[in-house]
Amino acid sequence: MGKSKEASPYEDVPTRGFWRSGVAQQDPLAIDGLYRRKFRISRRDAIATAGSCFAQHIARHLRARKFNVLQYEPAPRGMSAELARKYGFGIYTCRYGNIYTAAQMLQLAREAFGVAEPVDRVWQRDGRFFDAQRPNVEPGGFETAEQVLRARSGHLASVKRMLLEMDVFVFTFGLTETWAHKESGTVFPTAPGTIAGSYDANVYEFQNHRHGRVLSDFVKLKKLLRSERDKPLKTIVTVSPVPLTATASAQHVLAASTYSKSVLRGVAGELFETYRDVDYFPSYELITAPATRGMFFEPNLRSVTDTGVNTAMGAFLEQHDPKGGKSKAKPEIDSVSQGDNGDVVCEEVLLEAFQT
Amino acid sequence: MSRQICVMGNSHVAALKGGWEDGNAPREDFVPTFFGALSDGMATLDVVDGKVIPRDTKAADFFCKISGKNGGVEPEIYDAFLLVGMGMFPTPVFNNYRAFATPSTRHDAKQYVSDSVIADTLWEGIDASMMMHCARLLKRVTDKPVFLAWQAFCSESLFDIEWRAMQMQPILDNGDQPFVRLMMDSVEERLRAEGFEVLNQPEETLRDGIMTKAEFSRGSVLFRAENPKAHRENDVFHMNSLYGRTCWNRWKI
Repeated sequence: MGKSKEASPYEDVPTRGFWRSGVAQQDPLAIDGLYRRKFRISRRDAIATAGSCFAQHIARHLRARKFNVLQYEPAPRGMSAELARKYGFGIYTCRYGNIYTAAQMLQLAREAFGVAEPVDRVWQRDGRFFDAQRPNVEPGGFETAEQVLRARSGHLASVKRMLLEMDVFVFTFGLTETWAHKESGTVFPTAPGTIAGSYDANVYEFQNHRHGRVLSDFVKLKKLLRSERDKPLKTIVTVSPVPLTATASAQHVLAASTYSKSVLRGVAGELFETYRDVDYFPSYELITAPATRGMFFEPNLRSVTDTGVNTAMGAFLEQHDPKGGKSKAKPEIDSVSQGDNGDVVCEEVLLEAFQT
Repeated sequence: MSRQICVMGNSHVAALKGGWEDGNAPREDFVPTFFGALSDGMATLDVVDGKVIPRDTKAADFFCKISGKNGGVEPEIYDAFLLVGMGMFPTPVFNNYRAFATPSTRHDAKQYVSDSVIADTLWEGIDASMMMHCARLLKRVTDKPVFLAWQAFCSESLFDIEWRAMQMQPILDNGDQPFVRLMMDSVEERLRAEGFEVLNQPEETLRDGIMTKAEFSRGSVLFRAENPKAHRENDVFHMNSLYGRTCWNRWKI
């Protein structure tokens, strides 16, 4: 016999489904049940990471727990972690720097598989030449454009290998705002003129991608990977909790940031609901939940504190590495911080230099 | 009157000491006094009561004994300082050659990076070396010239060691010795900017630009005050007295 008509549909909702018990009464350092893994990742799985600044923490913490985080473009032997970061080594699986948008990730995959090639590939500054798609990995640039393209060719071979060999892809959505080449639609990780190149309103345009565009780009990426690969792929998507440094949308930066994160969270949610092989890890919620009262942000109200990162990664590892477990999580993470001081490389911050 | 030269370093001092002491003194314009410590003993070099000496007791004992003096270095009595060994070697250039090509190399490798990537890696190692610890310490206590000598390239007998041969052969095959030199030049530029003088390996001791002829390493001896013994048979890093003597003849100090 079914339930009586008087019974509320919320009667069977667990405590984590109610705001008071699920959030307000929770310890922000350990919000219970916020993340429940959709699938398991093991230490045998080849894990690749990409995305915006916050994704760097994920790679670092997974490596510290001895997960098999792929590294196709390692730093030179003898190079310190600090110098390696300056040159973009060891931050992600390949040396692509931050990939802030789904559009840029799709564009990179297409380029790696030889499906399409971005235009305006080389930017200049002070007589030196830079890879427009990763201008920060060679801070001093190259002497010629040909050298930039030769370096890119090797990089793309590594990216292709990564896309073919990875078992788990962890991607962190960062921004909806981007700068694009008007005629071709090529998108860039930084605004022309920030690190290299120069801004010309006739050549470049500002774009603020909407839900449909972000979702479509990521679904296209999934389809491309399915067509090129011969083994299944598990994807974990996250949304960076780091607010925008600046907006070119003419909105207030708080409103623009909220819009960006809302769109990205919506896309991540839709991917999670649609695909069995896509999991969503709520790093955004773990850091920004009202229960945290902003305690996981540095005084600039933008950078995430070590405690915030550790809390978020603790929730992740509790699901994927329960034996490593709660008790071991903090010391191990701390030891990582000592050896690898936890600084993240974030080109977006450079925009602050343009504030007058 | 001959100038007084203070020579300091680790095991690589042995070649210079032997080169000076075996037979007639090679030069009359200066007189060297040899100080040093084994292994990483020189990393504890410090100024104690106005004298330069390792803080580590064992290293300090060796430091004094090897010189025949009873204490540490009194900086004011020397006209110049010469530091040798102690990590001043382009190790990262050799270690990374096969995996990294740059605009200045002639080979293909898995990664293509700017020269700066390798140059900065090399500098980072030198900058943090025992050599630079000692060199900067001396700069604090004296305004006399401080000469820093590159450690000699590995002996050509390295080809008896398979992994070393595999590391060296591609550089020779591609004619990329100038790249090694370029990277060393980048270090020298930074050292000179800090006020140091740099001494290079004498030309006649070189084999193919980036190795040392076997005759300059054969029979090299351990750095000891008494009863020197030969290095192990496959040692490719340490040079003999002939090398030391050649350096004394060639170096402009």
